Amino acid sequence: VIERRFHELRGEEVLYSAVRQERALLPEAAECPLCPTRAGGPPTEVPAESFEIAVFDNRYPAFESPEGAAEVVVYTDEHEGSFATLALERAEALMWVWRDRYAELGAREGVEYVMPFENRGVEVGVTLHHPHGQVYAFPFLPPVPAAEREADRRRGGCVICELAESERAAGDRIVHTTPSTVAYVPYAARWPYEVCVSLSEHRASLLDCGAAELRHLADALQAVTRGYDALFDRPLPYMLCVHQAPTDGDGDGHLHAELYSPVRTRDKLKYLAGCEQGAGTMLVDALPERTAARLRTAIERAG
Amino acid sequence: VDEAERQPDEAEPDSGAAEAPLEREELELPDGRRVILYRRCDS
Repeated sequence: VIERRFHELRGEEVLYSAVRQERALLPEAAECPLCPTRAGGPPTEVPAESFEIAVFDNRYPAFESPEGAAEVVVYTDEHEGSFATLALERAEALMWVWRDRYAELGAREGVEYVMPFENRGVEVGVTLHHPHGQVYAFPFLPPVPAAEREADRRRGGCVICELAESERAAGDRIVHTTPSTVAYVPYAARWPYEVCVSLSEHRASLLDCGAAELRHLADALQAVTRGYDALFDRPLPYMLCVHQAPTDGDGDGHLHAELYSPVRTRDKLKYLAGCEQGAGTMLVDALPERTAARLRTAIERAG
Repeated sequence: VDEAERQPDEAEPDSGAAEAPLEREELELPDGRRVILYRRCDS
């Protein structure tokens, strides 16, 4: 049973999904539910002997139709690897899959926001190592994208466009560019190695992007995640969240991806503690200009 | 970068909707959940 309650004091929705307690926790490769179902082997979540990209409703959902949706997106039928190590063609195909899911889920009545995302690493709660992400279709506009829309209203225009312009002018926090994208550690990054990857042109969603833009977006996201892994010569845990325009027709948006890693040094995590949880104020140990320089070098080294 | 040296991949960004280069096949799991398999048309 999935239940949603409104937290009056915080002014935000809280989700309860007890079934998620039953999820498999880091099973052996031979028991991976995201691998293909092979002849003579156990049935998995993908009833095919091979596949490129597979999408299915999460067995342990945070949302269920008609009150939203929670889908799993499996990037490859190979158990080992990560988003960063996919062939560019596969990463590019993933952008089209995200686009298709945005269109289909966003068209459902009651779905107000569609967010593709990936949690990578046990440090951010991953329970399966097989390369995969998720797509949540929210029956409400969540607080973070709502704050983005409010920022646009406050500034009288698109803040993502404004930030990209100021970051290009400053230059020292930019970590990667393509002809269609710019990636930077934000001026007021909330995490040590937070990165924003935005489309250079104002695109509300993946639906507004052309083929070259989607290819460049895939290229940029892979460059950043490869740089993450090169940063401390270890697979870096991260969260990758794709923000687009709400799908309820109320308000614009600017397609961008936000990546946050909870890591602050090779073996130290950044915890959300009293100041962050109790006061809502992030306290970061390193200035964005310094972390951007380190990450830029790592991205160049990773190639 | 000199314009003449640009690779086709680096051309000015195109915009607007384009046809997805994907084929999709829908299957059903024993519990009724749907599985969509996406495959690149050119693969």
